[in-house]
Amino acid sequence: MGAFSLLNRFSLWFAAGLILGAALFALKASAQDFQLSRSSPPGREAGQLAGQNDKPNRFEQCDQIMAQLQQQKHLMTRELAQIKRELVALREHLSRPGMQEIFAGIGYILGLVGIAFYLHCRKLRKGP
Amino acid sequence: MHISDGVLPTSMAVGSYAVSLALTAWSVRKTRGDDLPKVAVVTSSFFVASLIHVPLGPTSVHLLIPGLVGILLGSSAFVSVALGLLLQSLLFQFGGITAWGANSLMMGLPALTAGWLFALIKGKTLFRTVLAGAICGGLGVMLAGTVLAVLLISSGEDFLGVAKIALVAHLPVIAIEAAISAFTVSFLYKVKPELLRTAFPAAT
Repeated sequence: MGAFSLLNRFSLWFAAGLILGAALFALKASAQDFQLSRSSPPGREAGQLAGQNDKPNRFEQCDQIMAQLQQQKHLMTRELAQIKRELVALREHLSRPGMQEIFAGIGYILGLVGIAFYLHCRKLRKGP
Repeated sequence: MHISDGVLPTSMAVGSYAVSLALTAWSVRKTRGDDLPKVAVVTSSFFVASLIHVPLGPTSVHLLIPGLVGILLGSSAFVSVALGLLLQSLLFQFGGITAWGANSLMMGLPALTAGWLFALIKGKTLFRTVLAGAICGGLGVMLAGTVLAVLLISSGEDFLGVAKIALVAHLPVIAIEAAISAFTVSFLYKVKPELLRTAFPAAT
């Protein structure tokens, strides 16, 4: 019982140490990673290591991003204009009278003239 | 060539309503009962004709056929035009409902004029009848443009400017309607000449 308890306690401490060590290692690695990513993006590491001046590079990058954004904006504007044109065409198409309205109108005309014709015939029959 | 809601001042809209109603009543009284089926068919054609668009450059104009209605119906033309325009404004939103009077005058007066002129100048021969049909068909659209310009003076437009625009835009329509009227008249002359004979009792 005593020996078992000793072994048990030892293994407990060992496992705790392992876990602590692994946690510390992971923390350290992630901290390093974070620092690395904050200080410089991966693509620019070589330039920094070569000891070049930092400022012109940043401006250049800014310009690049700006150009990309403007290009994207241009594309978006063009697509939006296209969609607007399509919308106008669709609205015009929808407002155009369809078969239903045409036949409704013809039906109204025939019906009204039919009533007039009926009245006319009734008058004719009563007349003479 | 439709006047929309709110273009004309109220006095003009009300006045044209009154004149249109009076003319419609006169036209109904003049209509003979036996002609009613013909009135129905021509009214339906007039109602549908404005959906036939003629592409013209960036825009398009549509057929109006007041001349043909006048040729075929004579004094009954006004009630036909008025009914067709009423249904067009209700179902197609062509022209406003408050401008119905003005629109009826714009199409109805040319129709009556064309019918009267056709009854006057049509001869006995086929050629003369077809020629009269073409002239009256084209004249209907031209007169409609003129009446439009006259009506729009009241809303402060300049008469010659509107008339010029309306006529230039409808030049192809005038040509097409003259051709359609000539074709219809020649066909009816050969097949059923009595349809053309009693077109305008007042003129004969």
